[in-house]
Amino acid sequence: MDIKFSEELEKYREQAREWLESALPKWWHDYVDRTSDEKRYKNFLHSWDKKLDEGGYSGISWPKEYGGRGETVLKEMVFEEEAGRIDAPKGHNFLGKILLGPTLLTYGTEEQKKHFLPRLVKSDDIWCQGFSEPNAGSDLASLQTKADLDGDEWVITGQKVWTTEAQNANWCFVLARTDFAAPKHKGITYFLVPMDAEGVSVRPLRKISGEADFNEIFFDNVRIPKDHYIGELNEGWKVAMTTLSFERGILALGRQARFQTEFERAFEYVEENKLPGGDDVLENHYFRQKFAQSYIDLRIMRYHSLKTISDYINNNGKLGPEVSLQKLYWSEMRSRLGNLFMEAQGDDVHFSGEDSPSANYFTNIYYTTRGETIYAGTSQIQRNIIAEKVLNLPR
Amino acid sequence: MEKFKFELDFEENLMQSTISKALKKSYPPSVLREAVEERKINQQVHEFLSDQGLLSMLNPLKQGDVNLMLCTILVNEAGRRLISFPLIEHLMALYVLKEEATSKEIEDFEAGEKIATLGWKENVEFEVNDGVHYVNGLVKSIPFADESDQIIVPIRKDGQDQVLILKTEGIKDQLRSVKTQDLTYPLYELNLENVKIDHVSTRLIHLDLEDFYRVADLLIAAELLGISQESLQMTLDYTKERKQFGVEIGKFQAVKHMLADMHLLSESSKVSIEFGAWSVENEGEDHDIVSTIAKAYSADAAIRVVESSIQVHGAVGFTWEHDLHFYLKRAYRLANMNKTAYEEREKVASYFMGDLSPVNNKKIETVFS
Repeated sequence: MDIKFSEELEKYREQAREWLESALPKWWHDYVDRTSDEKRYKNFLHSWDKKLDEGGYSGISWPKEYGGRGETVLKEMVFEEEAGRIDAPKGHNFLGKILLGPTLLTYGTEEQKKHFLPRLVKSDDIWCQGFSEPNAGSDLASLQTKADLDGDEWVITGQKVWTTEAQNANWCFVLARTDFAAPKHKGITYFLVPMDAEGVSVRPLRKISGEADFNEIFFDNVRIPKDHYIGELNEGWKVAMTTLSFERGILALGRQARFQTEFERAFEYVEENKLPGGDDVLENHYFRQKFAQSYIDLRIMRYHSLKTISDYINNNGKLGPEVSLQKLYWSEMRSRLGNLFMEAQGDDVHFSGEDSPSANYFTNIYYTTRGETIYAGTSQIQRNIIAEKVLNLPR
Repeated sequence: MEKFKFELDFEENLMQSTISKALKKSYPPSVLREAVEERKINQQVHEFLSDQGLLSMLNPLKQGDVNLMLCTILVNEAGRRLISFPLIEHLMALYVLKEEATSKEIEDFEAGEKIATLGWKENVEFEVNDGVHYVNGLVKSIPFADESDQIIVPIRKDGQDQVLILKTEGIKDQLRSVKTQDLTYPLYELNLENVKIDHVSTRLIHLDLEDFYRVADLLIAAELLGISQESLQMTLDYTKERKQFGVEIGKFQAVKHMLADMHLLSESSKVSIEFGAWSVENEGEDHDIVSTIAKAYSADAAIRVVESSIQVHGAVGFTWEHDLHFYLKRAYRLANMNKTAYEEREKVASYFMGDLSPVNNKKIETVFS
């Protein structure tokens, strides 16, 4: 065991922290003030991807030849951790960077890497993820969006759903069926589709929180060049599983830091506002116990994250089915945190906007947690994977 | 590539598999059943632990070479087998003696020729009469006291840490065998009436117990983890064998999901112990709270895992035909050594609420300033 971050890493952490503090405006740190001016809030979110790049914090661990910074994976993790701790925005290109980037690095051709990765780093392209379909959720491999080769072009037709950031994206990585005769996992290819191509349309969906950054995407005979796919033809499932392993596991350290900050804010909130019934939280054992259990759960999430990172860097950047443990742990844990935040608000819980003392901050976290046990593989799918691929139970 | 490794090294893995094999051989389930009847230290286990030098492995944090990771591995394996030997108690008693006694005085304990045990709970008071100290009251939860040579009683009261060290010889008639749920681990209580602190057979020393509790909690957590792991393993084997509706019950999703949750509980307990052992030994992150976290979590986890194991086993798990009930009862006893889960959580609450000023508070200030 050697899990001490080096001095160099700690120095990098200091730098990252200083940069984040200077890059974030004062009002950002006050979660009530943060959303009070919607235009200011949205403009700032729009500017964040470019800011990250200018600060040198985009594509941190990607090779220099592809526009990255050529730093170590641990540095990227440390930056994510600091960004999480200070509750920085994630940026519109978050999914492109954490999902598509590593997938391209693993499966992309030299030409694809040279073209797409530098543009990802600079956020010249914003990406969204076209995986789920109305009839292919947990059973993702039964997806029906199809791609037919017509001369030098693929023609894509179908529908994707639950697509975060599709309204801001100009590219989408899309799973489509290229061989209907093959078994369902075998006939899928991983395509790269420009959102401005003819036949692509986006319909926003309002999430439980009221935000509309969720979408449906329709592909109606969309024509894309022949070479716009990653990995082998009909081998898209393997590529997609790589993408999902990143989504499930590797961001855990940054996520944990973000959750810990939210937890501390929730605690400060009840400390200042008193508990439901007017009790002081420090003297109310019911809430003391609940907050303590959450603290325990959060710290263990951190230890899990450190282990996942160790597995990742000592196993040539590959993550096994064990990441499902990570995903199940954090999503179920945060869902309990969400419940605690709701309960701790007492009667304030059902007010909204400026009538909500926290400007919906805690309630929105709770709403988010309802999705986290669903996306990137539901808790039930994670349990199947753990049972079958880790514990080797019969299928 | 960066140097960053959260996994056991070669020596630790080797030790784990060696101990695992040896204990499986010397302490199979049939021996467990005998031990429950006899309520005695198992001689084969005792010999193995002594011969391999395992009983002297743990050293005080202050003295370096703590071997904490190795000790958690040892205790973890002991937990899997429910061995009939006061392992944590002997290690922790020596932990105290190593800080206090001369090496000559402890060599018999290190070699395993003499047994030291702990009194986990106490309700004792001290009186001074003509400059002589006397102790009165009850020492409780002393495993295998009748076979021990010394009983070590950590006492933390009114912000003061002391340790009472008693030679068992001479006070044996004051021991009472206590009826307990955990039949794998006989407990005693000791009634002390005006026992003189004579500095020979009864001693009272001042010793900062913070490190003691930190190490003890991790070892308790490690034994609880062994209970989770073994219980899960038995259940996994069973689900691959047992058929209902014509198929192995492990094929049913309802069962699979229970096993996945059990595995997650067990793995979460494991990372907390591995991280904890490393952190306490290296003064890493959370080193002043991680043992409490590991113990509180591992206690809840072990109980839940065994409960689920019983459920998956069906009616047989609910009877003495199976060993699972021994695991459940041992988990409950261990969960209450040192502190209860409730008390552990109270300690965690005080910690993050600022009484002990966690590191994280400092970091978070930058967010709000």
